[in-house]
Amino acid sequence: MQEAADELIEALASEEFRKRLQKVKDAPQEEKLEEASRQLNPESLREVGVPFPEGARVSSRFFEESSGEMLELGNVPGETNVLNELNKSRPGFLDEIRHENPGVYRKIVRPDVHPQFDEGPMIDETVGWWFCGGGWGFCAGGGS
Amino acid sequence: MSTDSESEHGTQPLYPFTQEELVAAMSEGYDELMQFVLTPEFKELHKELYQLSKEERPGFVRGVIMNEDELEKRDIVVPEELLIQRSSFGDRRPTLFCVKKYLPEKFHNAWENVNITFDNSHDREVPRDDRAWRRPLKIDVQSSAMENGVSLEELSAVSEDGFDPGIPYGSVREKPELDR
Repeated sequence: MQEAADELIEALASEEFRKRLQKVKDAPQEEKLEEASRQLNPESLREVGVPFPEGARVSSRFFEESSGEMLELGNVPGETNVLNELNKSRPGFLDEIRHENPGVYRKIVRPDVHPQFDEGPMIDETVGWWFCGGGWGFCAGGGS
Repeated sequence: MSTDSESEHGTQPLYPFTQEELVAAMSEGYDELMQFVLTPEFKELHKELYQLSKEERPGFVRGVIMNEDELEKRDIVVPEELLIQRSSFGDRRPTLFCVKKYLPEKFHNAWENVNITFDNSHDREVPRDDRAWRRPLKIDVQSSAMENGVSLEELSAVSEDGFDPGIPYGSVREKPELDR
């Protein structure tokens, strides 16, 4: 497992790969998927020297939170909306918590009881390294 | 290895970190993920999941793997820095769930997270060409399709005609013309 992870990291951390990611990020929103298909396909990456492992894939991806993470942003009559209050008093705090301590963030937003907030499409370049028969693999993701 | 201060994006350095720092952060992230998924309790859960039929697995993910009480019954406590999430891919790989760790924020312009992703069984080759960059399916659409034995590729065929289940219902998009 460690060897597979190391091989994947070598490709993902390479400067050329990250330059390609940047081109996708810099593309207009409506052209990102198209640009990604040009910049991030395995053959094209190998041609510019990225040590892209055999069997790895690059694909767009939605995580559940980006295709509809459940955040209550409306007001319930007679009750204080904690998320709205936090956003007013500490702008950016929820984002900080989300990145620094996802477990606490999860408890704050309580996804099991809140209505859906649809954030809209988000491109997420992901590379997976797949083990035949194992049904699982290492991935990395970045948003744009 | 090169330092990223040498790479310019406009007048600013492209990345505020070195390649070595990114490698170290990603390695540390994968180490933490592996420590969690290789615990005896998680391996037992994994076995329980894959003993089910491929149609039953999405329900098990919703009802057990995404349910803290059910995990607790199995002596599994997800570390606070890790997340268990469902996701879907543009290449229509039938995926069940992933365990994810965010990297420190300074790396997010390159990579935001590392994760270990668990797939459902499938017979078809997953495409690596332009079809890998289709809009992913809505998570519940993907889950329902797997439960009913519907090929995710068949759903993508619907989107080729202009209706994309990966975006809100009722929306229509043009199929992009891709350079080959």
